[in-house]
Amino acid sequence: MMEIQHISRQYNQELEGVKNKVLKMGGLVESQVEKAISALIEQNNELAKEVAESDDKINKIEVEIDKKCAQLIAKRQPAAGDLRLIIAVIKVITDLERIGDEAEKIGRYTQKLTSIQDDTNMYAELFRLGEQVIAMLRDALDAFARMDVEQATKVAQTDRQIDQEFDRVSRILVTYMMENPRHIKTMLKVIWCARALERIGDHSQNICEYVVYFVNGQDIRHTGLE
Amino acid sequence: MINKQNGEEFDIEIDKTVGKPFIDDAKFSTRNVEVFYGDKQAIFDASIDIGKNQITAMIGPSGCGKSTLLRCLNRMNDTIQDCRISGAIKLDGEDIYQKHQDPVLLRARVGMVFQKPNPFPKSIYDNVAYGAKLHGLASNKIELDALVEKSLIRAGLFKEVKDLLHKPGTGLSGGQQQRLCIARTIAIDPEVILMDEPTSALDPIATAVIEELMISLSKKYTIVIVTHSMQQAARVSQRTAYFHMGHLVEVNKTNTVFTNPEHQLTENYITGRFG
Repeated sequence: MMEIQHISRQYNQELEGVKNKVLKMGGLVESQVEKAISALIEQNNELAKEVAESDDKINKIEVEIDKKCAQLIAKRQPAAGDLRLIIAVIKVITDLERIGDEAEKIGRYTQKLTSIQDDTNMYAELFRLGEQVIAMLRDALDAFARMDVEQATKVAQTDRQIDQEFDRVSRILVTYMMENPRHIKTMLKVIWCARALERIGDHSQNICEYVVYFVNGQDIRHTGLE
Repeated sequence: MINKQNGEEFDIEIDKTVGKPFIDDAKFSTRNVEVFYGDKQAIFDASIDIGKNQITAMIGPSGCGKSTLLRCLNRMNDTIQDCRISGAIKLDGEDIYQKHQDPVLLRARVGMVFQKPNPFPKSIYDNVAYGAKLHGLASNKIELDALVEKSLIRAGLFKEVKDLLHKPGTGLSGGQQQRLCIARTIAIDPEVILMDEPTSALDPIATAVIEELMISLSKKYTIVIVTHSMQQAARVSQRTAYFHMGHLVEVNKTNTVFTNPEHQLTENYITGRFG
């Protein structure tokens, strides 16, 4: 769709620039999520601290991209595919920023968890959920980078598996809490982390939906994926 | 067919008009219209409905045939030698190119506003009264005064010129002159107003005033506008037709054309990817 260039080379560069910034932001967010999951599962306080404190960078890029998009709309009056690209970008970065927030949350909970002496080691239960979430986020960003509708549709559907895994983890943690009421306070924090991971899956699904919107001009947010 | 874009040839098929060229409540309908200037074909097989009390915008690069089709709608092309038109153009279901149709009467029903404001070298009053007198629309001075006032009010010009009615129309600003031409057009109470780039000689403020006027006029009249400004087409029209090298490529609701056009050529043009 984008192979034919604008008459204005400057306009091409501006659009490319915005797209590249989104990819850069996506890379940062992905690495934050990876670190957050490692910190949680390995109970690494240092790494958790790093994650909790570097969300700022992501927020700054979001503001920067928003500003660029506003300038593009004001100066270029984009239409059709260009307009859909800019709308998709504005929406994607909102989800990316929220994914960043979820990673930060996991970092903060992990910091608290590492300060509690406890040998329950329920964190391993989150391993599979973490793997699924990071894979989904990576594939969603990949679909966005290549504007690949087919992949976006496929990736969006994997959110169901993440929801199922989250239910499984919740059941295990709840059972554990009933058996060990002493650990409820700790286990609640673990559940919040699982919940944050599940939310990252939802945001990744949104990113896939914006890819479909950009390419096909079709809003599939509340109509389901067919 | 082979198209040229940015100096390079590329191949995009224009089989038939995509989108929704036909609607229920049509004022004008063209079917399979082809226009030739001598042996040069300017329009290929254009079929489109113009909605009643709507603004329909025709857009496309220079030489795409949009003005040619517009001028077919009130037989302005009759005055051009070796211009041949085939196909059917119907106004309220009646073919305007049939022998018994009088082009002068047709042009009273289908008025036109041009790119450059062209008031007659007469007073503001006479500019508006001229056509009405010609067509015998007023039987006395009082009726004519009322008609001139009403037309100037509808064209949004009355307040500015009510004390200058007998000053020359050419003394007005460009935007005022264009509104005077619109007042002159609506004085003879047409059904359709054709506008050929009506604001391309005006500044943005005067343009906004004319656009606002077009929208209010569309409640009473059917308007067809040819414009080089895509933003203008997007702002004022309900339906947009895109022409390319004599072909009517796509017709659809303006909202659809500007957010999700169907044809690659339309997409290229409205996003500025056209040489």
